[in-house]
Amino acid sequence: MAGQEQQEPAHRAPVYRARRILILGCGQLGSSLSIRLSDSGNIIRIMDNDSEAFDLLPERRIETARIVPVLGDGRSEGDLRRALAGESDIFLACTGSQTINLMAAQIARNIIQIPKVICVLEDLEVAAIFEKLGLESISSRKIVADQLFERAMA
Amino acid sequence: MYVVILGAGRVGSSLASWFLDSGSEVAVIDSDKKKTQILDEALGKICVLGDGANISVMEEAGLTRTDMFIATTGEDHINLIACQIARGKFEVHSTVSVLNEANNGKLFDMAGIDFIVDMSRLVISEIETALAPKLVEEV
Repeated sequence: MAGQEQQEPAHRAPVYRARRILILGCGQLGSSLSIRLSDSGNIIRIMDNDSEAFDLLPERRIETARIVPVLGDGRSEGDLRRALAGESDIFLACTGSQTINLMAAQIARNIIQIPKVICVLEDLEVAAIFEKLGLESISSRKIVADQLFERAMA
Repeated sequence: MYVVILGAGRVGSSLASWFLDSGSEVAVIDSDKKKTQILDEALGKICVLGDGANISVMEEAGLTRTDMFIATTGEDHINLIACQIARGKFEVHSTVSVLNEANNGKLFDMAGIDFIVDMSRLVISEIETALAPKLVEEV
C-alpha cells in the first residue's frame, strides 16, 4: 500500500497470531511440545488413544483450556475431524509409530486439508519417499546424526 | 512371477500357498516370529522376519525384483505405508492391499494402490448373495 507507513514504537513486539495446533501423540515428545507451543501463545489440542498419556500434561493448562486433551485415534478420519473442532492451522504427527504418523499426516493433509502438516519419522529414506509425495517430515535420526557430526568435527 | 506378501496370517498364508501352487515365487514378510516359523514349516523357507513398512526388510524380501506386492495385515496403516514404499522406492509394478476399515478407502485410492480388497464389503456381499434366495422365499 503506497504512501502508508506504520510507525511501530521501538519497544513494541511484532504481532504474533495464535495458531490452532493439533498434536497427535501425547508421549514425551508430544507433551513437551504442547507445553512449549502453548507457552508461545498458541491454542493446543493434543490427541492420544490412551487417556493415561495425558498425565504428562500440566493440570493447570488443561484447567484453563490452553491445552485440550482429546481421546481418539489418529488413524481415523472421524476422530481427527472431531479433534480439529473446526479450523486448525497446523497438524503435528508425533506418535512413536512411523506408520501411524504417516497415515494420520496424509489424512490431515490430503483429505481434511490442514494447511501445515509435519510428520515425525525415524527413517531418512522413508522421509525422502514421502517428501516426493509432498509430505513434510522431520527425521529424528537425521537430526541426531547431523548434530553429532557437527559437534564431533568442531 | 515373483510375489511378495506382507502378513503371514490367515489371508497371507493362504495367498502364499495359492501362488506357490500356481508356480510363482513367493516371499512373505511378518514381524511375528511364531507365524513365520509355522509358515516356513508348512511351505518351505519363504518368510522374512521383520516389519513390513521397513526398507531393509523389504529389500531382504526381494522387493527390487518383485512383480506384485500384496499387503494383507489387519492394520491399515501398515498396509498403506508399505504399499506406498513399494511404489515409491521399489517401483513395484502392481500393489494390492486389503482394506480393513472401509472409511480408509479414499486414502488408499489416493495412494495409487492398484487393487484394494474391501474386507467388510466382501463379507457383506457374500452373505447377501447367500441370503438372497432365502429373502425371496419369504416374500
